[in-house]
Amino acid sequence: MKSMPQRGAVCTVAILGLLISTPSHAYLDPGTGSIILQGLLAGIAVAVGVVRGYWQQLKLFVDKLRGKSDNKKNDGDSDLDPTSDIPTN
Amino acid sequence: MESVAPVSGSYRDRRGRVYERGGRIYRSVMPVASDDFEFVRSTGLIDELVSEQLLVAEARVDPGVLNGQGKGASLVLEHPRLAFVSYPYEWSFAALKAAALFHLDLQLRALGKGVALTDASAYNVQFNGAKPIFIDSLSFRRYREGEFWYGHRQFCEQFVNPLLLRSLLGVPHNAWYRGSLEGISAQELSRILPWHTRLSWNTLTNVFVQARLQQAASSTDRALETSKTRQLPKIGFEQMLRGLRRWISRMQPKADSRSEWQDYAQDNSYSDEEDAKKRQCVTQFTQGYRPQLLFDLGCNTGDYSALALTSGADRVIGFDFDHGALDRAFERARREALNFLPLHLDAVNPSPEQGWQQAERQGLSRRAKGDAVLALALVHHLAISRNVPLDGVLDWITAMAPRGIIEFVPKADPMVQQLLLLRQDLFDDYTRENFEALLAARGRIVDSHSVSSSGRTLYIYDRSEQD
Repeated sequence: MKSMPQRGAVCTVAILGLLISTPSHAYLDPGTGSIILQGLLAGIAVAVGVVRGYWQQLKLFVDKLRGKSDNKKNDGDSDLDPTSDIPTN
Repeated sequence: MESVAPVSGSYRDRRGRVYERGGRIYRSVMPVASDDFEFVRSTGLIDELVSEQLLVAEARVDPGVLNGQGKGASLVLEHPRLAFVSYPYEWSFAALKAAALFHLDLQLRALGKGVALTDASAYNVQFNGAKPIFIDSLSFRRYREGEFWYGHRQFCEQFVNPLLLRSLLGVPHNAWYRGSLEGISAQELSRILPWHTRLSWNTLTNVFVQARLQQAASSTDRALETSKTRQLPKIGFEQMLRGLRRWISRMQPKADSRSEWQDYAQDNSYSDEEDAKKRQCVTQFTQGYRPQLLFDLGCNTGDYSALALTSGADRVIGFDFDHGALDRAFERARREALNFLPLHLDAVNPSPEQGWQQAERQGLSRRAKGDAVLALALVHHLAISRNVPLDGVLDWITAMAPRGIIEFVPKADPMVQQLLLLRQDLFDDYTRENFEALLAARGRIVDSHSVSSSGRTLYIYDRSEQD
């Protein structure tokens, strides 16, 4: 799980991102299908991120109940994890 | 004054244009692209890619070189001229796959430096041997946090869908791609893929869902809404690229699409002695002429191409009709790091001049100007299997290069007998005497070597003295 300040930073970036308009820079027609698909995939990634967040909390809770140390690797937050930095915009 | 002509394939991007002058290649950069141009170069990405030979080099030159063309350009670059330009509809499956992975790696690397690509055109990838190189240095621009991947659809149409055609259906992409220069659309592909292919998440989303969303009547409004209200976080963008990379790296030609010629190098009717004579002749020829650019017509898996490269040729472009042989040849070029690019060619139907104004993509004959040509075990296939008159065959081969080796396979040879097995022999002009007379009319016959007991003969011609 991200700590609150980190979440805040991510959200700020996301809001800033929204404020900066993103015109279509491409001389290329990106295709309506592709854009909606990417919107959906981004949405799915967000949903997976939320579920994974709760799952991590649950795991942490269970681990604590079983008296395990929570000092070990935070395995949901690898650099390559698509959901680890998803802003909830 | 030398004339300056815009390169016809470069009209799309108004941020710059490519020009040719006296065989040299220039690119104008318009003011609208200046900020991006300077930003991208400040990241060090361009220098890195050029030094690793993943991007064509560039040097700023005096804009006056364009003789007044490219008016209003903020700067002009010169690029080294490519030795040979090939198109995705001439590439093997293995080459298209390598180009796709290369494009994704390039994007991932660029994103790491805050740089995005304006498009995902397969025509921006060329090859040095089997090693891809990117040729559009103006495609790079500043990445904007949260932006969508605008090149996704193009990437699917120009890379993913043609690869799926072969990997899921066993159908080579070349003919369809040549007829549809922008690639294969998700809508068309989704109509011919079997139902069970929906069980793959990647095929489901990139082909079926994308096609459905593209077709839906409400799509335009919805896409506009999506692009305004949603963001694609950078990590999601990278994940999309990595996901496609994993998927494409696993793609292989469908197992039952093995081809007739891919095992030819092992299964042919030649003896080792005949092969040794042929190899000796090719070695002597390339050692003598040391061609910079050699064409190997009917290259199969690239045995003679590899030999030519080790005995003095700088670069070989191979051509073959057989997709399985081409895939093997490409893998070999990559494995052995040979400057050898095998391309698909049906000799009786080579790539035409096509695209906008029939000039956007050049036909093969305009591009195929080499220093030497090999046409081993080829003439009989054209003259007998494909009914091309012998003089036409020799016109075509000798136009490709001033010097070369052409093999004549007489009618008595078992391979020719096989070709004639089920057909009437209408080929009275197919004789050694006629072949020699026709070749001598096109260039001096420097030498000839008989290489088999059946009378197969290699002729070395040289027409450079006539030029």
